[in-house]
Amino acid sequence: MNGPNWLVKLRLILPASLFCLAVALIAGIALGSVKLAPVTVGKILLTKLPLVGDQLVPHWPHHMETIIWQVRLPRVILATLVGATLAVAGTAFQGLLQNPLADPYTLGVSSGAAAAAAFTIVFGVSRTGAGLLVLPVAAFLGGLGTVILVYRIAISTGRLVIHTLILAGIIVGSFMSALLMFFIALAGDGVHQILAWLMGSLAFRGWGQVWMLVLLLALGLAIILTLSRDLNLLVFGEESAQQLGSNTEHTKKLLLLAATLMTGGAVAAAGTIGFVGLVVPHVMRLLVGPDHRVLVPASAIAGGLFLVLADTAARTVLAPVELPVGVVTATLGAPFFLFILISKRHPARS
Amino acid sequence: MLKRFKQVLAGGAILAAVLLLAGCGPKSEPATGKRQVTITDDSKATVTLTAKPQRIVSLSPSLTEILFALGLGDRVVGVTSWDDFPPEVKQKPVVGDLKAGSEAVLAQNPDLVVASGLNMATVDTLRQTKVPVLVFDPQSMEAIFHTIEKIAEATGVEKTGQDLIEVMQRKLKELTGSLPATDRIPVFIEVGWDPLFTTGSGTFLHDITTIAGGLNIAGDVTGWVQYSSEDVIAKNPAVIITTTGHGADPVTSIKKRPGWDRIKAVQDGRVVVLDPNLVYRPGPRSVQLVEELVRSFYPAGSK
Repeated sequence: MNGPNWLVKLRLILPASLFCLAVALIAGIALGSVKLAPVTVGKILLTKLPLVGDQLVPHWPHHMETIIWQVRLPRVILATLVGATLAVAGTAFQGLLQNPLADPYTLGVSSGAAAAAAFTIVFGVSRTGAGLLVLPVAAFLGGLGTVILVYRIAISTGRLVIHTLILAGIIVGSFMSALLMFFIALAGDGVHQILAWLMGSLAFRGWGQVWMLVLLLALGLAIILTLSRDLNLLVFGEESAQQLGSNTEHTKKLLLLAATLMTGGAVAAAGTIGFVGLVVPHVMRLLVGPDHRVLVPASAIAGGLFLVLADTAARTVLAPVELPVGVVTATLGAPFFLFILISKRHPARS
Repeated sequence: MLKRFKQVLAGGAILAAVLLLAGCGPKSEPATGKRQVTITDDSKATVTLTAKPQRIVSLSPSLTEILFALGLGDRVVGVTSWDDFPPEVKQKPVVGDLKAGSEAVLAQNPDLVVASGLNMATVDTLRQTKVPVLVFDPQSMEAIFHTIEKIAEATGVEKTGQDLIEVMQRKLKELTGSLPATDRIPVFIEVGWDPLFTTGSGTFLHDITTIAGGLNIAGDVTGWVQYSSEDVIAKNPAVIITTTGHGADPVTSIKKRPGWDRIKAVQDGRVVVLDPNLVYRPGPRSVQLVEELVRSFYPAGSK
């Protein structure tokens, strides 16, 4: 038809997945621990529209509007952005590290960020005003610093060798985890707060958080999409990529930078939410194929969708008690992944 | 106004009585003597004591306060680094933080160790060495009385224990006797923020809030839980109680949370910041906590 194969595929997949995301967003806004009738939710959402909004006479308690606009809406937006960012970073890391077990945290971003975050909690930095920024900034720098260290170690042999990079990531990550344990041992009653942060939380802390993620997601997506053809080549191994004319050293460094910045931002905003960055890229690879030009945007949308659903479940399953979202991502994600894996593999074999 | 004055006066008198009792406790009862008591503690362990303990180590600031209120301060030979009440406790040897190691405890050669549920690892080790260990974790006012009674029994100051309990009960009755039976004040109890944590029924804070005439809006759940922010907005509490901790300013934080400016407690400026040492140490001073809560739930003049 018109355009190359991947473009045709993208034109099919993008609208379909965006539609699913929109449905999930509406579900995420309509559902919560406080029960609101779907019709009321719809009307509350419509009041903000010009023309239509003026026709509606509010007949609902005032707190419902507050809950929709100030609690749920910012939260689903945050969930979408964090999920998309982690999924894209995960896709890039899996391609770059040529390893199906890789995720955004493989090179130690999460353990470095966690150690830094725990440090600020233990040493009791004020959590009001400008102090509120201390923990996310520390987490971001901790994650970034860890990867820079890992990169320095890996590059010391002259060339960026992927296996060295992974090994250095795991070793430095273990060291950072030990630091984290050390801070936990010192933490006293801060232990609770550290654990909560480790399990991840999408509690909205202000629009600054959202804009930072929008910026990092846009930047990361731009870099990774530009390099998506090189990513495709990298998957076949560095030698073949070089033979096919890709400047692999340059590509690897840029990908590493983009994926690390994205992961650092997601972790700074919402703690170390696991599983999204590992499973979403795999599921999408099974569903849309391995071409990164399709896979990266599809993963972004699916990551957002997945985290919105997981967070909605976290908010509603035991309402009014909230579950840590990290608990839900793994309990929902693991069986779903296995289901896709088995149902996709089966027909191929028979 | 006059009623309020009388309350303060009565409160002062009771406090003086407690201090007096605490001061003369050991003198009025013999400190040594042959006897045998068997105590079942909150960890379901049965501990037999053949003599009145003379060297007591406390691994819980809450139990330290009970020991001192029973006039047993002289017999305490080890406390935790968190202990700061009564002030004399600062002179006592420190055996560690809340996770005190068993060696430091044993170095004090104790003939009784009292501990909370937080210390179970140390407790298990100590019990291997045959040192008598009593574990108490009072989670209600009734449980505080029970704990005081048991510790008094273990240490042979039963009479002082009974007197202390009576003084506390009398004061409580005075504070809460005239509270309305219905239409109680809806209260949100915040025990942690980011994520938001509250406490449902079955905890000390829930019990104290109920005694002080408050209605815990999270009373339908049990224990410490991560709680939904929108439920707090929907249930619209008239008072929010919280504690300071980790250099945070809870009042500013509460005002800035999305949607919380709609909550009655925030609009009326009724966010009560409590001293964490009072809140997390069930003991003789818990009556004082009830007094603070009654005062903030039913300010003088409201009724």
